[in-house]
Amino acid sequence: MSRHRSRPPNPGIQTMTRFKVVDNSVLGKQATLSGKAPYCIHVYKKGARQKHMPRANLGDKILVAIKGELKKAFVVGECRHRSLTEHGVPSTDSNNIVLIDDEGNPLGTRILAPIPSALRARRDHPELTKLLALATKFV
Amino acid sequence: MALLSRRAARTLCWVTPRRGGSVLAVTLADKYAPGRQRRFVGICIRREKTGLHHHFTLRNVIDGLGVEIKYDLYNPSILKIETLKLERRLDSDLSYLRDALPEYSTFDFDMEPVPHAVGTPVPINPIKVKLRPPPWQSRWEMRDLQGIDDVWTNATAYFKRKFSNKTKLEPWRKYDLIADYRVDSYREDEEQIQDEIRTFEKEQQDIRGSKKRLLKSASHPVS
Repeated sequence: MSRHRSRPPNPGIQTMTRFKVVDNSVLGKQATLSGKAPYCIHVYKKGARQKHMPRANLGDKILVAIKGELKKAFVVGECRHRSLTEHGVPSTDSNNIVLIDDEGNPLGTRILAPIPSALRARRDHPELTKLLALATKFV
Repeated sequence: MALLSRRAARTLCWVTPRRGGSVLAVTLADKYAPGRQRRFVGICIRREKTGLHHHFTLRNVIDGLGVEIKYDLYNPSILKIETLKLERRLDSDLSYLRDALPEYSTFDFDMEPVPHAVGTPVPINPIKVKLRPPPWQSRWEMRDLQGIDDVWTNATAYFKRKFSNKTKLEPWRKYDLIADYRVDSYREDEEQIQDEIRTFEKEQQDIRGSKKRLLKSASHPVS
């Protein structure tokens, strides 16, 4: 840690990263109210390297621990370091997720935060379209 | 030519060189958006790099969530840049708005553009923002920032004790005049400086020339 920092530089989303749930699911609300934010325990990515050092980006599927349960989720907002941001892709103040069940259906019925429009270009997860249908705002 | 025309479309953005603080609206071509384009309004918090690599960052708080978007100025996917409010803050880098209360970076998407008369100087907004309690993203109290209200009182006591002998990150910065010149130089100022340099050199040359002539005449006196 550098002398002149109050926090280490943003390491991105990896295991033990805490999240904010931005849908209106009951589980997410309970976790927010209890003050114990869900955290990442696995990133669903292919390849030996990704399994060894899992790191999630915008639109990736992850496994989170929330209120003593394991739930799958999608990353819908990422707080990136200023030098790692891309043209036109928003970087939010918090790392946001939307919870899904094992079939890939979202647990909530509404998404309360703006969603990056770059997610609409993702074609690798068909479940993501169900989630984007709930979104009200795109940035 | 394409580059020049693209640059002409971005003229408004160039009015405030190297300074953040203006409220801008950027319309971006987006294949997946309903109208094939999307618009984002926000305060310009950062302008970095020069020339073709120049990029700027807009920040806004939407539904309680802070959103920052970086745009490359010369990227052809930018359709339009509007200046909704042309002004300057006390600092050039407003990254501390991330740690400020959300009302300081909240702007309406349907904001009416504030007119600005051509030729008049860019107004300076002397607002001092209030930060939320630490931990902060960076050690703002160590930097030479004017736009934060009472930053030293709000800083973490641990760091105050630890670095009490060193209160600024770059204490020599105020003596570095050439850095000031690099950061914001205006065309009129530059021309004036160039004129001064030219007149000074000419005078020096005249003096030297006359001196040389004198010496020459002294060594070879004309009878």
